[in-house]
Amino acid sequence: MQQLVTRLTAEISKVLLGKEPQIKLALACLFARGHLLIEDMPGMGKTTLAHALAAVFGLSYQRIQFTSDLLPADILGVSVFDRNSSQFEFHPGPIFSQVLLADEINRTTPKTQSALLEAMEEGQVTVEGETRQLPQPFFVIATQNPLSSSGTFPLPESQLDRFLMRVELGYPSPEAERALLLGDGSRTRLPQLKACITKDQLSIISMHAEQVKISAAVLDYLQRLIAYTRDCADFSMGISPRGALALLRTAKTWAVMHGRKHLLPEDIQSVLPAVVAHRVSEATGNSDQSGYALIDQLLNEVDVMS
Amino acid sequence: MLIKQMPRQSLFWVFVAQTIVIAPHLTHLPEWIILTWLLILGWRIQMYRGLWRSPKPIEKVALVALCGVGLLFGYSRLFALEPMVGLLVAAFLLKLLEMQQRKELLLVIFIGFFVTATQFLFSITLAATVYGVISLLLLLVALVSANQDVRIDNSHATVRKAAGLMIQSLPLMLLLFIFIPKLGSLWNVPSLKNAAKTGVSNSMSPGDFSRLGLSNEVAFRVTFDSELPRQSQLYWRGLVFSNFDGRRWSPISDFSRIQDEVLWAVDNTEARSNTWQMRPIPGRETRYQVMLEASQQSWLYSLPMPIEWKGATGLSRDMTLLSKNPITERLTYELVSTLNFEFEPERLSSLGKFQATQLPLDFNPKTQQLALKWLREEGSAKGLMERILRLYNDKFTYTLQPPTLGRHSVDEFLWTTQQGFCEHFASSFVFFMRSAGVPARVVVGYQGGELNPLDNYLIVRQKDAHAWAEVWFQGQGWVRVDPTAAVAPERIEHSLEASLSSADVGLVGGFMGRAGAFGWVKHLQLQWDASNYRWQRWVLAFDRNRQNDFLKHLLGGLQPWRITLAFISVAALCLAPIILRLLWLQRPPPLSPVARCLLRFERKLKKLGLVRRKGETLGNFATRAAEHQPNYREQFMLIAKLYERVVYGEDNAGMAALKIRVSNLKL
Repeated sequence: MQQLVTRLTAEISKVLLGKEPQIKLALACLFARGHLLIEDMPGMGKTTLAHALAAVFGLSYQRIQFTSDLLPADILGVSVFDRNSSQFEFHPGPIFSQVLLADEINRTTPKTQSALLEAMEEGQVTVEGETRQLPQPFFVIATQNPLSSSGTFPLPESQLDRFLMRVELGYPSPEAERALLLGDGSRTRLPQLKACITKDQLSIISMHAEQVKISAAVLDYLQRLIAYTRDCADFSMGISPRGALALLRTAKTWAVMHGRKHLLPEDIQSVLPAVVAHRVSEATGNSDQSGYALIDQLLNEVDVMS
Repeated sequence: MLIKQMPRQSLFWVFVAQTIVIAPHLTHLPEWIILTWLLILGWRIQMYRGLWRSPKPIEKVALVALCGVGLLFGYSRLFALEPMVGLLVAAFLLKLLEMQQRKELLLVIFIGFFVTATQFLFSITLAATVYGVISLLLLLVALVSANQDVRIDNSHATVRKAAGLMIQSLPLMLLLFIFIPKLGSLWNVPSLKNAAKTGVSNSMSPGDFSRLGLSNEVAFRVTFDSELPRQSQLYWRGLVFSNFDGRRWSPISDFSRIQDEVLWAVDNTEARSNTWQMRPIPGRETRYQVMLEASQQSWLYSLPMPIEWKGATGLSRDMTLLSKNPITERLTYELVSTLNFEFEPERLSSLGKFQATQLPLDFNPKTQQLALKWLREEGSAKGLMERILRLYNDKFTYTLQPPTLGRHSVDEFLWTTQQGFCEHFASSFVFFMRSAGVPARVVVGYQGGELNPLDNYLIVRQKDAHAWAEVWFQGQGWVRVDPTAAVAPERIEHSLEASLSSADVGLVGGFMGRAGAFGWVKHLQLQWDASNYRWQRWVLAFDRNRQNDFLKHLLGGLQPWRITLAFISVAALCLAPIILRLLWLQRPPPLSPVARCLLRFERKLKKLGLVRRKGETLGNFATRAAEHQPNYREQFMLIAKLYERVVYGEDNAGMAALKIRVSNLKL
């Protein structure tokens, strides 16, 4: 299992240098069957990561560049009148794929953003009164620019909550940057990425994650964390039960990825910033939705042991 | 937060509490207050159900005016207990109708506490106390629900809370009962209540005692310190009747004159022995406490002859025990009597002799003649007495339903009807002896009593009322002669019931007395009486003197500092369990073995200046510590691993190893 993770990480690192931790988080997200939101400034490699993930999982993928004039029909599909058969024929949109790369998701209007809601939660879309199943597995990997940048529509909380994880990439380290500068255009290597994992392996990981042992002590810790976000005055919104379930699910997957059969507080701490940061907001009204200051406070203030 | 709204739940409890609180006053409240109560309660309940509106100001004024008029003119006297309680109850009622806000609701509840207190002005029996406690509980429930959140509708929890409050206050109640100075008759407001009581009165005419025989009411209760004297010795001496007007026996004409000649103190035994010729013969002293029910009379009952008494009690010349004041409430007194004594053995004063032989002239001529004739035939007073007693024994019937007697009552009884109750026998016997010139007098009191085996005390009831005679013989003094004993010895040896025919037995003691024929009813009655008696003896009889005695005995003195110190320390003792319980509840949970290991590990590392941060897992901490102390890297990491295995893997097999590792860690 750990080998598999290492191999996947190594494969992706070929195109995205020096970002192993973020890559591992993104892997955990997909292993836990969750949707991933990658957030950073333009040019940090968001799209590259998204592409690489889709590639190494060996899944069919479609990419949509979200723009301000994108309409829901552009994503979901549209019925077109076929002159030959004299009937309306449904032309499935790009969403009918296993991996949907939603590039710069916050550039589009809330109306279009919401078109993704049903697909993300239930794995199906309803177009023109007809419900259609999406292929399995179905992942949405979205990228977005930080809210401060111009021309963005912030994702509503309900939409954010659908993403299991939000990952930030950040600037590369000097060594990685140097390698990047020296090397040939890494983007060009994207088509060469090999699929490293089969659909069966993916289900086995899910199965193992189900069986991870959760001790009373670690559950206590988890509940203390949740209670802290709900009681502390610095939080205007605590972790919802859905958020808590997501946190536990991801932490279990994290434990499996590290070859353990039981959950450690470290597992929770490792995935917590990515899983929780976009679900909480500061009471001070600082609405940049980053939430990382709060997460630091949460991790430092809540006692792990008792 | 201050709630202004009245909680509905509380309103309901106020209805219940008010009904319960007012109910014991129904016996003395005038009818119009009861009608007002029903009207107001009905109105308020309809308001509660949202059917009727609240009263307009003009209606309120009218109600107040009506109640005011009723109070002013409804009582014979305004400044007395009943009208004052009536006023309080009227206010209690009117406020119930008027209240709109929570603070008014609280006011109603507080008046309720007051009304509960006034209940004890009328009765302080055990039953009344239990009832008072129930009223108190209901008022507390109303008070608790008035302070609860309006949305809470859990009456069980409310009642439990109120009961809990009450139980918690019990120690304080006890403490205050023992330590707060008894103020005596603080409530000495005159009562309108008619003081009529059944019991022995200060005169005796035919039929009086047979009427008393129908009453099961308790006259007094007696606890003996030593062994109980024989039933036939239990003559509870009350009044002495020397005066006879042909129909009615009464004490010597001027009763108050006797009281001038009363020994109020015991220390004058010498004078009593010489002048009054009251001579105890040592050997059969008995000490006992009598708890006398309110009799509205001023004489007490004792076994002859009392030789020691206390308090506002005195002994008169004719050996009647007297109280300075009429007995308007229950009185407990302690006495020592000697059953062997001589009373005026040497001589009778001429006045005494005159009093003990005077007769109305034109009554009962036949008896007067026959007495003289028999005296001549027998030759001595003793012989005369034996002959008349023999006559009683042979011919007479003892019954509760004697035939009525005319003008010459003794003549008719002795020679015609020959059926009677104790007063007939005593009266005719004394009359007969006096006719022969032998000094004799009637004594009334009680005879016998029922032993309550549960608490080993004697219950003397009105049906035990009795009349007997005393005859004076030269050299012997006054000798008790009970003519009833000659007719019905069972009356003296056992009880009234044993001596009567079955038709009469049915009458004895009224309904309660008859119910006592069933064994279990009897047992319940005795049980109830014993509880009441204990309540009387240990709670109600705890007056200022007893309190002083008790505190002196307990504290070794009555200085304020002693009492204060005792009060504070007992209060602290009462509070201590509550505080200890709170502390106990707040104690930290006991540490598991793993947690203890962790604590130990952390303590050891603390010595090196390494403290685990709050949000740091043990693994991370161990790593950090290892960077600081590379020599111990393996040990730290192993401990962290073992800890993870035990706590998060829930695998207790690692526990022993973890313990050893932690204790072996030497830094």
